Amino acid sequence: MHAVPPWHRLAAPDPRPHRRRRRRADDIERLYYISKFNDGTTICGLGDAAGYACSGILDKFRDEFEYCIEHKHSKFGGNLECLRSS
Amino acid sequence: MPEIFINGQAIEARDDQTVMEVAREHGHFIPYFCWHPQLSVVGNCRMCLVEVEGRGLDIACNMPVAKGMQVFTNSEEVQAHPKAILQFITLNHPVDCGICDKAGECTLQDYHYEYSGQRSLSHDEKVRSTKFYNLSNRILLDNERCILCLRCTRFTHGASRSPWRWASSGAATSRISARSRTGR
Repeated sequence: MHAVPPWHRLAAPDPRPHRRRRRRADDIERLYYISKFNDGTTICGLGDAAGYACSGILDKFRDEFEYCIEHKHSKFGGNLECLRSS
Repeated sequence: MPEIFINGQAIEARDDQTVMEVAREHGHFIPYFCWHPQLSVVGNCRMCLVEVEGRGLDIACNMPVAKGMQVFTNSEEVQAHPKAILQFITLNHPVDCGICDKAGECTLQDYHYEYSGQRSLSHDEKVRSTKFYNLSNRILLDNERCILCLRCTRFTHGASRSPWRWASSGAATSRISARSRTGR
């Protein structure tokens, strides 16, 4: 099996069992590290921007990521919650 | 003849030179993979990052000299980058130095030792590629160990005019290949 699925098979579902949902404690710091060093080390600015998006969501929703790492499931059941400001 | 400063040392450079050429002429070491003095500049390895005062980090191989520019090749920020870049470069590298012919005379190894390189950060399986690929009847290419510096394609495109191509079927599955049947 390919580690990266070939393009023409992307429409078909991946028959392998989900092995990738390993929430490691150091994942957040690792993503910050990768985003930081992606900046300036790619030919195209899209590489930098991928890191900006990643560190952006980690900045804004860090509590949800930490909750997911600790409890092994999403904080809001995978829903997007818009909390009404009081 | 602009005068530039590399690590504080004043150097007289020519108008058409890049910072990489000037630095090498005067003994300042800047690491690189894809640069070659006689090939075109691509800037895809990003190892030759230097810090320019007022402009931040940028690659030296494609940086023209400017009068009075202050270049630092050993500042803290510059030294933090090669380690991470090596991790990215070896993301799908098999690291089979034990059975590789190049072991011992390999700049990838040398830079890993020099900059305390570490293994890549990905926990996923490495992407496989063709390991015994005949580029020609004399050259055998291992596409997994290839870091895609593209020196070979730039040489064949610019100097020898033979037809090796860079097959970019995908970012992680890119590989060097011989001429395709359509001849393009």
